[in-house]
Amino acid sequence: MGALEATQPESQGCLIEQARTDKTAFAALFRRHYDEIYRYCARRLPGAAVAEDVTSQVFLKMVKNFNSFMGDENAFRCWLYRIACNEINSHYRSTGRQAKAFEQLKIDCDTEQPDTIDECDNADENEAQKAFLQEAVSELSPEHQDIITLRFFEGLNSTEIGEILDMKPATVRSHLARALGKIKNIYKTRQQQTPGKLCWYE
Amino acid sequence: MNNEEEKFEQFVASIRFDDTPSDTHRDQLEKQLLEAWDEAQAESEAETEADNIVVAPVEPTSLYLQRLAIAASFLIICGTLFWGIDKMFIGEQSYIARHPDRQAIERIIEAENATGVEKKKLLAQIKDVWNLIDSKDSASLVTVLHTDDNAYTVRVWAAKYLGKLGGEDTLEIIETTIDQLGVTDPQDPLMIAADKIRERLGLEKPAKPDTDSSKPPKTNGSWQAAPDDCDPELD
Repeated sequence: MGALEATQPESQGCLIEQARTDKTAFAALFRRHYDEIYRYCARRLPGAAVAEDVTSQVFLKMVKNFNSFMGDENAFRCWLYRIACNEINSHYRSTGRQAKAFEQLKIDCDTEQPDTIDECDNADENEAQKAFLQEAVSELSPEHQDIITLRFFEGLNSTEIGEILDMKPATVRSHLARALGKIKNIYKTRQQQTPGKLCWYE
Repeated sequence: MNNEEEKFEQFVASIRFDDTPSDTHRDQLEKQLLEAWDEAQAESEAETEADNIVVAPVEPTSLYLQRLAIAASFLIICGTLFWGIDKMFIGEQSYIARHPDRQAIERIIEAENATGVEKKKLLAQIKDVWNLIDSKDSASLVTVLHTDDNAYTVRVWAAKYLGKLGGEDTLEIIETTIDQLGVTDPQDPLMIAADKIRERLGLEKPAKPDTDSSKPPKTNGSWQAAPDDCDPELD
């Protein structure tokens, strides 16, 4: 069972229909999906402020088109992820080079001061890993970015990613393999420059 | 999942992301969304009302029937027009043109000098007679020969065919009719038909029992003598 299905009790199926006419049900629907969409945005975007902005855009688009949406809550979650992917890619297009965004991300990370020396080491390493992961992902095509992040950040399987991106599962798997190969090459290049902790594929 | 995927998954899982949602943002966004929800509901209701007022619902079935009725009316009108034109102008000409004895019919029309309604009437008589000829109805043809309503030339034309069709039985009927009507004019269609049958069967003309020369010949109606150009000669 995939991550989407696993979190969908059958009793929640009618919430979508209730939310069309009942404001309280609509609020409940929002609260149920806010966290995961925010997390997805936060993992792909540089900084909490940007993630919040994009998350807001996702849900505002959702409410604008909510009456035309047809489907159950599983389809609703796929729809939200699809909007989120589009909004994130749109954000990167509008802000120019994605590298710029990651420069900002690095600056933000550097300004957060750890309390102890150990924490400092661990935090530095984590920030470095995170920054480089996001940078590596940002060098992929938007489609590959969506696939990699949905698969490894959100833990979705190829069928669920296919539903979100309107692709066959086999196509998703094929894209995933190619995207992972590219990331590996990026890491290899980086490994040659700064040998040590960044290696994950050996 | 292959080994590489698994390694990468573990690697990503080991990284801590700053992805804790902010309650403040959540609450603000919720408020914003509920306002947008209210607006969307109001717009939706307004659109529904406008649709109900402006656009009258048209049932597909009634639309279909309406179109069908229009198409049927159009076809009926076209059919009627075509039939009328054919009847008035084309039908007569094509009937004559297709007729096996076209020349005889043209001569009849010319001899009768018929135009317009008279021509139509004449053609109707020709058609009736031809139907009898076609069905070899000798008895009815005998009746045609002495029916004054039919044009003389038409009756002469019928007589020619009866002369070809009729046997001794027909001849007997014709002779009886001649006797009953007291026909003596050799140009009378009855006389013509009888002569033709006799000629074809090699029979002699019966001798007249007692003819009164002072008695004028019965002309059997008001018809005039057959015109020369409508000679009922058969091939």
